[in-house]
Amino acid sequence: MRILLVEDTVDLAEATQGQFTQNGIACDLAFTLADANNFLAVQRYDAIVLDINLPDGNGTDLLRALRRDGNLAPVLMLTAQFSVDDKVSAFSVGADDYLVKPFDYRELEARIHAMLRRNLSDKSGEIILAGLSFNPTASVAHINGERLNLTRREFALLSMLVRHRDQVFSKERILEGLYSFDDAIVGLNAIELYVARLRKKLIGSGVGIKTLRGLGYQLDVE
Amino acid sequence: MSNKATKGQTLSLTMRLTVGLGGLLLFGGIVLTLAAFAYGRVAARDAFDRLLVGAANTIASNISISDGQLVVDLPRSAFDLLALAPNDRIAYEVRGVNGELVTGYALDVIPDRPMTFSDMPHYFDADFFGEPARFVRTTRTFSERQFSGTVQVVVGQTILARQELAFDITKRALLGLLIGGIAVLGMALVVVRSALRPLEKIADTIRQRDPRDLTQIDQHAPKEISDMVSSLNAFMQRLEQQFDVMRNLISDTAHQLRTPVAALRAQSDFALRESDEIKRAQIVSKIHSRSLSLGRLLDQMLSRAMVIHRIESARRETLDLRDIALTLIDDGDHSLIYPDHDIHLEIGPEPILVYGDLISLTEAAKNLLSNALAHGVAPVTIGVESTNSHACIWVRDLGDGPQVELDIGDRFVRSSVSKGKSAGLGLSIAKSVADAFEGRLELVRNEAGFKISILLPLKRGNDV
Repeated sequence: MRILLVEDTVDLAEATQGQFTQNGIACDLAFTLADANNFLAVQRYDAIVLDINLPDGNGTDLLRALRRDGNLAPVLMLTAQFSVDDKVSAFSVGADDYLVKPFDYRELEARIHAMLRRNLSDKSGEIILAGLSFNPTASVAHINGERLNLTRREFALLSMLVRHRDQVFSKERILEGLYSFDDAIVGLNAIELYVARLRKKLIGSGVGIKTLRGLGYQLDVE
Repeated sequence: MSNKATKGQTLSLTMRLTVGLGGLLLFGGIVLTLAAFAYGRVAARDAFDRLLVGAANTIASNISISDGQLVVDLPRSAFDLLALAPNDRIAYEVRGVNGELVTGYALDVIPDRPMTFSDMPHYFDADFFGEPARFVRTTRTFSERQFSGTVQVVVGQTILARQELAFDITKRALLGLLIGGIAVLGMALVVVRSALRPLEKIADTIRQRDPRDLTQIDQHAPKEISDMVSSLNAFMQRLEQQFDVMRNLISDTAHQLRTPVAALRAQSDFALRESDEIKRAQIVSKIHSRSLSLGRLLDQMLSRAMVIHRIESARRETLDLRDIALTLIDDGDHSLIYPDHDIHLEIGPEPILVYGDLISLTEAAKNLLSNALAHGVAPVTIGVESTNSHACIWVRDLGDGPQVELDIGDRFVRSSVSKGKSAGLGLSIAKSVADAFEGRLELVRNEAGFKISILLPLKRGNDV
């Protein structure tokens, strides 16, 4: 695997590169946008890690140019900004994932692997219901082509409902499904909140969640 | 910034008033001119008609009968009256009982109106050698043995003098109007100037101030302006608060960042000079943990800055505290940093509604949770509940809580930083948020452990 790291903070970049190398990942290092473009012109990369603020411009410009040229390599954005809106805007410029500095190296590597898995995953496994497309192997869902920003558990809930859309799920069953592998102990009342959140996010997809009083929840496709 | 504001100025009030009043005066002027002209014409007509009928009556009274024949002795006085209009031409005729011309011009202008035999003179307009002219017809009835019947006298005059008089009247009326209008405009300008003087005074006062002087402006001003002054004062108060916050933030930041950075530097210096591999590895691991806590500290400081900023500026909305608790559980940060800590959630089936800012409240609760995870004893429980008047989001662990009593001031914040712990900062964030939304922090320490709660006024479900 070969990745390109575009980051102008020299010691951070070198330390990260060193760790990639230790873990058997080939990593080229670009300190400026110009360097990055030179690398990209001659080498194909499996993934790109891109800082937003660079000395000769903005990382988002590079990302836009890449996508315009048809380069679909997954991109992880690094941001030092501190704002909730950033999470949304990183996706909107076409990044596949983002990480806020300072970050843990293990987290970075895990995210890169997840991105690659998503990228390689089979599109044929995708389930399409009205405006919602759901890809269980890549762990992403889109509404009308736009990526849905779901937390891990929201995704797990959607996954249960989509895969068994003819079944009615009781709260107990959802709770088991969401938390069987987990350390947090939340109780049944949290399920209602998850359902409400997921409902809100599914608005506009043509897919809803209906409540069957006393029984539970079921997916509702228009 | 201010340049743009000045350039964006709209028409001045004086100009607006001038244009408005000027337009009004112009419109009024046109209407009044038309009215004055109409009035002038009527007045001139009435005045000259009287002369005309006087002349006609004089002629008529000088008609006599002699041997059954009409004798007209044109009196000079009749024409003297009409000579008051020196440029106008005069015409007259006297017609007998059967309409035959007795003397004068054969005017042929008498309308085909039947004779009324009344003494009322009859006025009419007609042409006189191609010029517009005004005529009057009077009659005189004889009933003597020798002669009986009605004699008509027609006298006419061109209308130059009438028009002149009409124009004259109009002109005088307009002159009056013009003088009046100028006087009104002038007075209006004076009034505007004097009305705006308090504003100029305020502007001067502000301009002459030291940029850091954010004290209140003197409120003595007319009622309309005192509203503006008080909102200006409120604005300056907010600015001053922001300034204070910034000042505190900068001095806190300096202290809080320098201490851990100094520790890092000392440790790394030490590591460079240490030749023993095992000891060096120990120092490096200390540096690592210190840098982790520096990262957390930084997060908290930014979070505090953001929370303070949002408390001032963010729009408030109705929130379900259960949502905040669930978000914290879901965020997953803790499972990465403290993978072996259990977290429990305790929420009821009903929404617990409060009025506040989602992000600030989430930050506040998140800080309480990370304090419990970092310094408390697992398992940690986060819960939401309500009493009669209060909504409450709390974090509980099995430890005995921070060593200090709840005096969450800067002193505490600082002392905790030097120990490489950031619990104080987290508490201070939670406290500022609770204060901002009319709530408070509550600490309970007993056999069950340590429980810290943010209490907020409860918003009833039917208020939504």
